[in-house]
Amino acid sequence: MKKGQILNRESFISNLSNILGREMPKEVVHPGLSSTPHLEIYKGFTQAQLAEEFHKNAQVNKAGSGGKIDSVIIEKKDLAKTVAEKLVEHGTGPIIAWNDERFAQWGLTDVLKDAYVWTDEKGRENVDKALNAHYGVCVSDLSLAETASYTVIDKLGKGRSSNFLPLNYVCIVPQSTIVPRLTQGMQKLHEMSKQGINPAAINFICGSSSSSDIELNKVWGVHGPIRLTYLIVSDL
Amino acid sequence: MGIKINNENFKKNLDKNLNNDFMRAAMVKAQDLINKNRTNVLSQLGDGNYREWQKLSGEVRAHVLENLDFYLNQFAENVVKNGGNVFFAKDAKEASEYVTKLAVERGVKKVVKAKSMVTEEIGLNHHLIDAGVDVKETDLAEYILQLDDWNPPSHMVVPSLHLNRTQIKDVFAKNGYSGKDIPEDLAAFARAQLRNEYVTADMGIYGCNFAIAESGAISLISNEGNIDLCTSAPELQVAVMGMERICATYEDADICISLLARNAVGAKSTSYTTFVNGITEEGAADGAKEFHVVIVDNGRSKVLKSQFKEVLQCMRCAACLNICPVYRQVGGHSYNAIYSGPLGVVLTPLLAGYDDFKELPYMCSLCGACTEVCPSNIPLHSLIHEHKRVLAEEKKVSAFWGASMSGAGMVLSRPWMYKLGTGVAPLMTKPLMVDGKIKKGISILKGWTDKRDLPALEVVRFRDWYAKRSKGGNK
Ligand code: SF4
Repeated sequence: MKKGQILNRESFISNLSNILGREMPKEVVHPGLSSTPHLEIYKGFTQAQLAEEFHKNAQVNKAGSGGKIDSVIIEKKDLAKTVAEKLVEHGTGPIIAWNDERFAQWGLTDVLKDAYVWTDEKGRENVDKALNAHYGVCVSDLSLAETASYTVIDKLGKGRSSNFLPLNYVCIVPQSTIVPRLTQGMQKLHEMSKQGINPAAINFICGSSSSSDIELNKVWGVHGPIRLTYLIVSDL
Repeated sequence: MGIKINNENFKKNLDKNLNNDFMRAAMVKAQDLINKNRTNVLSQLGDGNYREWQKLSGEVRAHVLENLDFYLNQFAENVVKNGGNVFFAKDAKEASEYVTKLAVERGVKKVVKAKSMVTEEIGLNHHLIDAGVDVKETDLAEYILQLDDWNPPSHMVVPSLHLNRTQIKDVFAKNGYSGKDIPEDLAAFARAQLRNEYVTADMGIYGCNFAIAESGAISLISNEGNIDLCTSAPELQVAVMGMERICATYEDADICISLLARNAVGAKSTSYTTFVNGITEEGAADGAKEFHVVIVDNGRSKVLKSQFKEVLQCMRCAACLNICPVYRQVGGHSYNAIYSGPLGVVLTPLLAGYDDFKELPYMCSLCGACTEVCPSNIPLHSLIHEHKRVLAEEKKVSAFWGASMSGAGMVLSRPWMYKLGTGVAPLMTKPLMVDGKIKKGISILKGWTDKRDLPALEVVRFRDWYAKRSKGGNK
């Protein structure tokens, strides 16, 4: 099969048009939503208030996860020290981090000096490093207050596996990236899509990997990270 | 596997399940736990006006169905713009053959697969296995069921609900586990077994919660993170979706996703909400280098044409299973199909025909609880009632022929179940009543009323009944 093919489209779509009793329309005007309760959530909140809500909801997740999820609100001046503490909190081991210039800008070069930096040119070695990593470090591209979710928008230098394979995860959440909820996340993806930008993967993540498949007992770290710590940075 | 999960006689199957005490207790526990969490989390959604969100979600899904040709076409075009390929499959065979051929042509030895109802429906696993491909189910429950010789799922969200920890330990023991029946240890065993599979598989297969027409994205909702791992390392990836699982825009998907996790697992969000858009950037060390979406009809277009079309709004959250008093008693396997509970009662006969599933519409007390909770605003109990009408009036099938007598009797012999009413059931039975008793029988009532009179249905709102029962009332 050639790249970019659509197979059996004509018969499939025309069958549907027949069922719907008309030709396929050239344009469909979306009627819009008849009400907008999703726009009311945290409406008018300041960034600081959103950060508080993010933290509060992360603490709810902490309680629900028996401490597997945690969050702290800090200032940029304390970021390097806090990252260093968090990277030994659950034992020591290999660290993997994105290839992201913000780490240097925020004074994390020294803290991450032993970390393996995701380097796409090295191919599969990256995936193996992620598989054996004790800690992963990332920066949230967009953060959702309602669910205490961070977002990873796929780009070279980040690596998808690096987000899902390490045992423990430390995520830096700049306060400026916090929006009320998924609604604003979807608005951002809509805007990007309108400009023809559709990143290969967008991951909204609000917890560590969990399952209730054995007699409904919640267990953590069934595939991906067991622990997740947010560092909410109030002046970033 | 396909839609039908066994060839046993319906009554025999039902009797077997009614005698499975662990399974029945598990259903009760699951319903109580998930519903408690669901009620709590829905009360915190905005100002707690669930009805408003439910209505919106129904509107969004209905709009797509009215314009399904347009939105599927738009979606397919956008998948291609993102570097992917699209295959429209008219039935299960075409869909499975396409994926299997792809695997064989690309020399795929191992597939990591995430839980997906539509891949169960089309029997994809066995197609691949027959072609010599090693398939690894990665969702913990599906992994357990695969190791247990492809034991069928009994719940859409918690497929292994019918197995207890000792049974799971025994299944794992046959595969090298030597520990105790402690959930954490069992999960750790699965983790150790599966982690390496993700990074060595040649192909990742997953389903689709909602496709986004405006961008060509596939959304995937999960707690375990296994789906994300299936979208990460394998270079060849395939998403399989029922043709109705589409939203026009990201904004529409926001409404649906906001309701999905809350209804499915009683949480504000699952741990992972993911969107994948075709192939990865040139030069990336992981992610899909080749991406395919298989869009499956398999009987859905016939449903779209019918009076049952609203069932295509379903988002597979299982809230209707979790609230259904019949499901609570009989469990998922009693429906003889991968789709169970009220959704299964409506959908299975439509996709797989009445011949093997004519008993299903009678697995319902018409209490209306499913309709009340459904986040897709589907009038489930009305559709079930319509099935009964079709069976009785068009197919001339009597509700109480031989085998199904027991199933219907099971419902009716439990006063608490029978007493459920929503204001709809009493109206429907009104013409049958003489002196406050139901004397004349239609569908489920026929046959039963030949033997004895039933008390008239009570006008009790489901939520009132449920609130009372939750406080320790009649189970
Ligand atoms: S019918 Fe409604 S409640 Fe049942 S699974 Fe579908 S969306 Fe959920």
